[in-house]
Amino acid sequence: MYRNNLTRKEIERALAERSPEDEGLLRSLQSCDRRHFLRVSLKFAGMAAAAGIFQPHGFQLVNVAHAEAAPGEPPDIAFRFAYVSDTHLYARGMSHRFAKAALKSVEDVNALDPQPDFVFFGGDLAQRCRPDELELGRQILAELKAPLRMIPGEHDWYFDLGQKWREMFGPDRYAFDHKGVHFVAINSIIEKDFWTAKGYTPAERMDIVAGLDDGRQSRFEVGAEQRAWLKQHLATVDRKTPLIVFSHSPLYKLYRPWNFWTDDAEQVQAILQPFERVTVIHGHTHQVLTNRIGNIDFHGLLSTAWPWPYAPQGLPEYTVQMRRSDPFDQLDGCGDGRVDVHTNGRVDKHYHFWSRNPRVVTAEEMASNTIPGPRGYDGPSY
Amino acid sequence: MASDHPAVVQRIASLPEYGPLFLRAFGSDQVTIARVGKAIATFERTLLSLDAPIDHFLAGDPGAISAAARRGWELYNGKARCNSCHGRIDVLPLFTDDLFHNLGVGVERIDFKAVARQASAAVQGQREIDTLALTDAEASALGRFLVTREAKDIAAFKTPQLRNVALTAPYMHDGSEATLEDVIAFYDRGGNKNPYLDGGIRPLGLGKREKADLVELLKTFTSDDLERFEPLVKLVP
Amino acid sequence: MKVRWVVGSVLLGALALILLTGGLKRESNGERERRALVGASDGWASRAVWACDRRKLVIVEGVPAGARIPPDRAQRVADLLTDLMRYCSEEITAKIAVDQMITVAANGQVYENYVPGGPLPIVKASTGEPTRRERMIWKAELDRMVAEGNRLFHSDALGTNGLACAMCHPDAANTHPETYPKFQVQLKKVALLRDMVNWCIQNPLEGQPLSSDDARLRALEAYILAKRSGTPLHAGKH
Repeated sequence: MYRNNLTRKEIERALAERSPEDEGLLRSLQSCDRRHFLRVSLKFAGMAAAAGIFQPHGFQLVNVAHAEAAPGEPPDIAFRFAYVSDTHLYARGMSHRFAKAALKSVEDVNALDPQPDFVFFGGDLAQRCRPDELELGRQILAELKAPLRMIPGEHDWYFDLGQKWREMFGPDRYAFDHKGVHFVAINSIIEKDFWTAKGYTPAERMDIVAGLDDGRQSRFEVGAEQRAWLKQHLATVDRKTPLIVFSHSPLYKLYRPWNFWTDDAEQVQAILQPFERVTVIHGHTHQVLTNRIGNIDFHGLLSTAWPWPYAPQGLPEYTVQMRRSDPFDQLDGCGDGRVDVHTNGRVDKHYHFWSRNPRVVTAEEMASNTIPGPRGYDGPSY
Repeated sequence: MASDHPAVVQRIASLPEYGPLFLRAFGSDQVTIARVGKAIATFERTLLSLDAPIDHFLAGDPGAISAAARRGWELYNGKARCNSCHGRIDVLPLFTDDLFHNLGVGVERIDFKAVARQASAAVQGQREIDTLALTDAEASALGRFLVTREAKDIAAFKTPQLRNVALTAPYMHDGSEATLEDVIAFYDRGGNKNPYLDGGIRPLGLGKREKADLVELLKTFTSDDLERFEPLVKLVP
Repeated sequence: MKVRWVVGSVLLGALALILLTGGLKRESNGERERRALVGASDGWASRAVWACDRRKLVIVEGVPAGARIPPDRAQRVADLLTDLMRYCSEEITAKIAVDQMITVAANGQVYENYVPGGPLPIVKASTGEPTRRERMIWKAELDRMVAEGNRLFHSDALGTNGLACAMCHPDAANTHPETYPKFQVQLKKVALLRDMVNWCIQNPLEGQPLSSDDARLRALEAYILAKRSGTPLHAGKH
């Protein structure tokens, strides 16, 4: 596996050209003309690559010159997957800002070298769960080179209670194994029926659910039926197997008025608790969000469409907030990212912002409970 | 000068005409780098040209600029979204936010990402930044990235100030836009698409008259008192 | 018969008690002062009749406390109370003397010889404390404007791209109205809340700006301020 953008041939050539001059390579850079620069940089990149300190990832161009300071990549990454989430598409053509942003995300992921093992879509593909919105989303995501795993969000569900979603993207809950890690995807945006008694039409129901601060809807839950399924399914999985759970809502109780909430969170967590290593990756919150409850780590995904402000209360102490976004920059606070899974099942959660420096919450930081703030000013939003 | 301080001091001290000038200015004919700095700074302070029709207009004289330019000012602060980067602040009326933005200038010639990877490997310190930025046409397109090495700064350039902009054609850091009309058209189409395009840039949907009004507005940024500098201009060979 | 008589007298007594206690138990110092103004007693027995808003008091001379007022005099009491209540919502005390002369006292001033049906010789001073009814009316009007602002805040009609204010600002979060006026980076000048609302309509929502006296802009501002009510002002805070 090549960990930089040089082809095998170029690397071999670079390594073959290694000579006593290489000691003076750094000095030669000081009097760099164009021809020399290209030759030198290739050599340097080759050396750097061989030393395993060149960051291959499309998102981060590490300062190779300070490679001694930067730790570079941890050696025990088993695999990585990328994520795109909360695109909230309107069916208004590709010139709509949300469609452009979703496509930008697809281009980001496709530009990754090497490609991730798969791409996870965290829910809320459409904005109002209309068939044409979902279809637009399907077309945009179809451009992804890597395999795709999807879960629905409430914006994909409450116009027709998931009928179109299941038709297009398959079951809303499933499980699979990948390189020693067990993945479970659940539908955590189930709501108790609030619409029949009031006689809301499907469109009204969807508009109510679409309002984050609309208190007429019910709170999210996983529900008894799904919990039973989860428990029964996980009974077949060894306790030592690392577990990664895909969910749209956070699976813990952050802020009830905005449905940053799962009503039966404790019961779901109890089902996950027996496992040694559990990580929940969730969408819905459109912000940097980190939490740990017992032995379960929770990581939130960025949205491609817009960032939510932080809730007035209930913020987990693990979370280092992102700075309030600039509304002039329609990409600020938005982005995508990836998850690096270690051989021991712990994860590094990368946030790839489009208008800010990237952030990463590493497994080490989670374990030691010292999560550093971002580089440069990025103060609390409240 | 591409030199260092002792060399500069030596060179100036060797020129006979500076002795009496230093004596008159500083009370001593000894050349020091501090005095050289002060002299240059004092000269630079005379290069201010802040008296333009737009300043008179904003000070309360509606007749100072044409009706077209007045419409242009509304657009500048509204539909055309110019003011968010090129805003005129009363206490600092330079029409710049002193930040760095990627407009996609140069993307049709250069693969930003590929060049960024190479440059990332090559840049060691200030010397290398200067060398690359000034001698390598491709690396120089990387702009702020050469300094910060942050991906979000790839091909981002400092927002220039706009005083006397009608006189400083061609435009953009590489002179790729020949006239003010070209610049307005560039912004109207939303810059050049590239993976690092600033999130504040988007197509504006300006009409023909609106674009003309904006050009008329930009002409009002030209100072009234530029003939002050003619003697200086004559000095430059 | 005996039972009925007992029940009847108990009821009468209860009624009297209610009337009396209605009059006496709740009398405060202020109320005693008011009586003093009209010079209640003058040696005569008198009883007090309150209007239902507890702000108008008529003292009837010559009728002992607890006794029934003769019908014609009761009518005069009722008419007087009605006149006073119609006139204003402030506290007024009146006395109908034995010779039927009516004295009216309000705001510490005493006016003699009020003729029913004629103009009340009271100068209306400032309204002072608003009445409960006034407060209800004012609140209802405010709630209406805030509700309209709420509707607009959550509506995609202000912009052209389907976005609504509430999408970035659920429950008006992150609007910080208490920090205005402040230098607004996006506008490159010092802005008030409504300037920023208008800017957001034009930019993230890609809509047409509203004029500063547009009812919609005012309603939006009202909603935002109402939601952040109670937050201390801090102009210029970033």
